[in-house]
Order: sequence, then structure tokens, then C-alpha cells
Amino acid sequence: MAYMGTMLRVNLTAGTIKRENTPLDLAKKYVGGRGLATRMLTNEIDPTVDPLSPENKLIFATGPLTNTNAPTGGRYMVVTKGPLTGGIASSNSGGEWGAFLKKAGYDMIIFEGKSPKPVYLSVMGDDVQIKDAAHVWGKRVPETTDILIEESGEKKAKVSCIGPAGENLVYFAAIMNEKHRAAGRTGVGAVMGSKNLKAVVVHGDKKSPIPDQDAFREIVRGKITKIKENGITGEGLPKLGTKVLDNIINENGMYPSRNFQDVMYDGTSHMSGEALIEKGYLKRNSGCYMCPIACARDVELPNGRRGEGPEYETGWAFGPMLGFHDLNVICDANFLCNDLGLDTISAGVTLACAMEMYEKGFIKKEELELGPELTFGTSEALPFYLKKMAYREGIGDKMAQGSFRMATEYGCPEFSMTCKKQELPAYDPRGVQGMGMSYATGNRGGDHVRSYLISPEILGAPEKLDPQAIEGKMKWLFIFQNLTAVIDSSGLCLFTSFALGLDDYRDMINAATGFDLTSEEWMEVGERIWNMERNFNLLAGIGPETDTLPKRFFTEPANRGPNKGKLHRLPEMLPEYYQIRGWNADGTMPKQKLEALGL
Amino acid sequence: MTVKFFATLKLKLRVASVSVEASPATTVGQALRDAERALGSEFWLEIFDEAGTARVGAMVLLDGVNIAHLQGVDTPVGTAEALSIFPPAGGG
Ligand code: SF4
Repeated sequence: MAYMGTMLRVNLTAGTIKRENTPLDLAKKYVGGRGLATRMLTNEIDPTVDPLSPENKLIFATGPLTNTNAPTGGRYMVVTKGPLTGGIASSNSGGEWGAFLKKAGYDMIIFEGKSPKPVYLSVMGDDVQIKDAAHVWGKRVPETTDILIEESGEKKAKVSCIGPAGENLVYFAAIMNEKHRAAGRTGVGAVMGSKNLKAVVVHGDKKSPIPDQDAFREIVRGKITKIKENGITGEGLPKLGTKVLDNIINENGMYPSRNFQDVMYDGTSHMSGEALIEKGYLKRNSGCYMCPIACARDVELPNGRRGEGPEYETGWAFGPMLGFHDLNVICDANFLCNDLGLDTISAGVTLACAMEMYEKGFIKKEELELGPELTFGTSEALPFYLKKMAYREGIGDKMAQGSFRMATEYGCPEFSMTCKKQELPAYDPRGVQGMGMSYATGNRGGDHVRSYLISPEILGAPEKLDPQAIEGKMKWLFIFQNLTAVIDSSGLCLFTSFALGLDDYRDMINAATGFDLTSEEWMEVGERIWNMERNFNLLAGIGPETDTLPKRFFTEPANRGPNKGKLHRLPEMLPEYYQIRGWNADGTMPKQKLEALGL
Repeated sequence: MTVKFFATLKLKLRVASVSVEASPATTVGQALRDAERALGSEFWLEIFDEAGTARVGAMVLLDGVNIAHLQGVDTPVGTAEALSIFPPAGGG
């Protein structure tokens, strides 16, 4: 079985570390990673607990395929109750940290309580210690990482940590590993900060115990071939990274700008993935652990700065969403967010909301305390207010709660482009009906990676669906949500799903675990995970009335392009979605459904 | 009308767009062949399989509407101003 069989339970209040057996009896029902960690969290905490209190728990979890040679087998998931939505929070990251947690010998770590002073956890194989972090508290991510690697005495140790944003409990603070990789969404970094936990350092050299290595290797070889031969994963992503989407989404008339007031952006070609290459800024691509795709970008700007990024979402949130497209500014802001430990999507979309509020007179000039104008197109505002958010200074303190709470405080929640209080990503729902439903029904709030319907609706993978059609879409949503839950729980990157299908994941997970589940049974596992998350949200007070989109998408038609005049058609689709899910017509969950799924 | 190239196709052809003569009855397929002739470079197989169906992740948009939802390469261009061509690409 590709599980290490051991997990760590760290009580930060008492300063104790316990080794426990990973509950492998649950693995067949919840796989690992997102699924298994959510099961444990929901078993152990009261859903109504204050997310930033010691009673909340924070789980770092790997999947069975993490630390194997399965393609992209290096990922981990952070699961907790989050401060941004107040519901289930889980955020995934790549790099190598996840693989190294397993190399150290552990499937997951559960953090409980709150340390009386800043600490970090050092996991050097069998040697696990809670250590003082006073000397790195307040420091940014790169410096923290370098200091803790040095201190570990092991150059190859991997560090996952928070920056000032997490320490200051910014509701969308990220957890960063290996300086550039982010468990970015849902504010998991704030929970880590609330526990006075600065970092987790891991190192080891253990292998994951796979039942039949040769058979596993053979299966994996076939999947890697599929990934390499696929046009998206074999050519598009390696060559251009996720920023290849800039032009695709803009030409399809659903690349939102100026806080979704416009559905397209005219300067897109100047800041696109193609432009990064044509201008000579892209130096090389790189990848996470065991990744044959290697979609990450290493860029060097005319201003001399070098670093990783930007991804599609970040480029958009720090560019068109704010009304400009200067790649120097966009990339610098990306580096700054990584250093401060901020989620780039929520940071950019919150700033866009503030700009609309300022332009429409809700935020007054005096509140800016002589800072840059909060008008669309003012690129100077971006780094300035990012720092204000991270350190909760001036108006940045309001922004640090996310756009929904900020806009509500000013009496204009309609300017907050959020679902369940989490900021939306870079696809306008008026141009892509299924993806809009994915936002509205997402368990972790506005988000694109929990059911990426852009794949069939725009990219045509695995088959092309009409983005404006609604017939049959809810079945697709159901399948994508369930399948993604399995992929997330296995320890693989979602990008593999452009080339691989359900049977491919079944083959790899079965071979790694020794289970013999059918594809249908794995889909039921995904359905179970989805329902478990939903149930937690309902118990936390996030009711079906939150399965909706910002008002703008129902009342302001798309202003131009191929979708001109279109609105989102959620009311026509939501009842069908509830029905396919087997829920009550009002979106609540019948007891029999939960029981049938073994919940 | 303008035929616009994106992603790896744009990098390969080293050109962002080309103009072709088209009447409303000209089909998308004809316009693309004309674009190949104007460029002196073939790109058809980067986008379509032998049957003329777009490869997974590739797309041709007629004023932003995917021809997969019209009549494919047989769609008349009508009064559209632009064809946008993407070889297989994706992200998230
Ligand atoms: S596809 Fe990109 S994000 Fe996913 S594992 Fe590979 S390099 Fe990392």
C-alpha cells in the first residue's frame, strides 16, 4: 500500500507530538489527501467553531500517489475550516513538499490548539520537534525558507510556511512551499497564523511501499505516454504555461476586466503567454515533483527582477481585472504576493472591488491616507495596497477580510465578485454557463479547480460542449465535481485530467493501494467526498441560499463580444443540479442520501 | 477578413494575423486555405484531424463563436470580421 501508515498529531497548546496509525480502514472510502483529511477534520471539530480559534484544526495531507513516480505525484492538500467562507477550506499545492512529507515517513499532520509563542515543526524523518520560530516571525517567505533550511542542516529539506499575511490573519493568506508554490485559496494561511505556527520543515528518504512496483511502473508508463501525446499537456502547457489561456478566453468573449464590468480586455495580447515569449521574458519552464508537463514559468523582466510566474489567474487578477496590462507590474506584484504569502486571486479581485467602490463614491479619498488613487488603470495602486492588506494597515485592514465583508461594510455587497465570500476566478459566467454553476455550487466558494468545466465548454476536452447551452450541463458538473475530488485525494495534479480519464486514475490508484475498486466505485468515492464537504458547510451555517452568483451576472448583460446580451441562467439549472445530486428541492440533504454514501 | 493566429501557432508562423478576401458565402475552410496560401505555410493539420474535426484543445472561432457549434469548416463566414485560430492549448 502506497500509504506510509503513520501520521503525526501535533498539539500546539500542549507542545506534544504523537505518532498515530493512518486510519487506512477509511482509505477505501476517502482515498487520502482532500478526502481523508476532510473526513478526519469533520470527525474531530465542531462545524460551528471559529476558524481562527484554537478549537479549529489544520491538516496537511498527502494522497496514496504522492511520492510515487505517477505523473505529478508530489502534491499535498491543506484542509481546515476557513476564515474566508466560514466553511470547508482546502487548498492544494505542488512542488516537492508533499513528496518529502512522505519521504519523512508520514501521510499527514494534524495540528491542534494554539502555540503560546511562534513555533515551527521540524520533521526530519524520525526526528520530529516543535522549535522556536521567534527569529523568523515577521519575515517574508523567501527569507524564512532560507533560514529554516540552513537551520535544518539538510540542503534538500523542504519548507512550507506563511508570510506576514498569514501572521496578520489576512482572510485569504496562503501557505507557501519552496518559496513559489502556494496552497493559495480559502485562507488556510490565516489558520496557520492563528496557531502561531510559522512553518513545517520536512525531509527524509523513505519510499512509498507499493504492492507490485513493476506492475505499477508499467501502468504509469502508459499514462505518461498519454500525457505526452496529448496536445494540451504535451505541447500547449509545456510551451506556454497556463497563460496560453489569456487570448483563448478573451477571444471567446469571457475574459472579465474592471471587476467584471466588461467581459473582454483590449490589451490582452500585450500581456499574454505568447507575449512573455515574444518579448524574451520567459527564460525556461520547470515542473513539480515527477511532472512530465512542467507548466511553471521562470521569467526575467526588463526591470531585472527574476522569479516564477505569473499563472493565468494571477496575470488576470493583477492586470485586466484592475484595468492595466504592464507585465513588469503584474510580475512584480506576483513576486510580492508570494513573498508576503497572499492568495493572488482574492487579493486582485478584492482590489478590483475597492476600485469600483472608489470610482462610484463608496470609498472616500480621505480613507486612502494619501495613497495612490484607487481607480482602474492605476498600476501604482497594486503593490501599494497589497502591502497594506498583508500588514492590515489603513484601508488594507478592511481589504484583508476579502471583498465581500469589505463591500458589505460600505453597504454595497453587489460589487463583491464572490461566491460564498470567496473571490471568483478569470472566466465570466455570462459566457460559460456550466462554469458559472461550478462557481455557484462549489463547496469552497468561488473557485475554478473543483470542477473545471472550461475544459469541455471551451477547450473541447474530453468533448466540446456549447458554453451557452444548459441542457445536460448539470450531469457534467456532477461528474467533474466527483472525479476532481478523487484526483485531489490521490495526490495528483488536476492538469493531468486534460489527457487522462477516470479509468486511468482507477488504474493508478488501484495499483498503488492494492484496492480493486471499479471506475463506478471510485466515482462514488468522489460523490461521498463532495457530499461530506457540503454537509459540513450546511452544519457550519452555509445554507443552499449561498448556491448563487453575484447579482451582476443576472442583471447586467455581457456588454460586447460573442456573448453580448447574455446573462447567467442559474435559476434554470440549479433545480436540476439538486435533483442529480439526490438532494431535496431546497438544496438540503436528505438523511437517506448521506446514509447511502456511508456518511 | 482577418485570420488571427495564437499560441504555439503564432510562435511558429511568427505572424499575428493575415488578411484574406472573403464573400459572405466563403466557408471557414476556404478562408483558412486562403490564409495558408497567403502565408506560404500550411497549418491545417495543427488544428484538424483528417476528418476536418478540431483536435482536442484546438479551436477556430468565427467572431468569437466556436465553429464546432456552427457547421464546422463548412460554415459560411457571412459578415464576420475575424477568424481566430488556436492549436491545442489549455490551462487552469
Ligand atoms: S502540471 Fe504544472 S502545476 Fe501541475 S504538477 Fe506539473 S508543473 Fe506542477
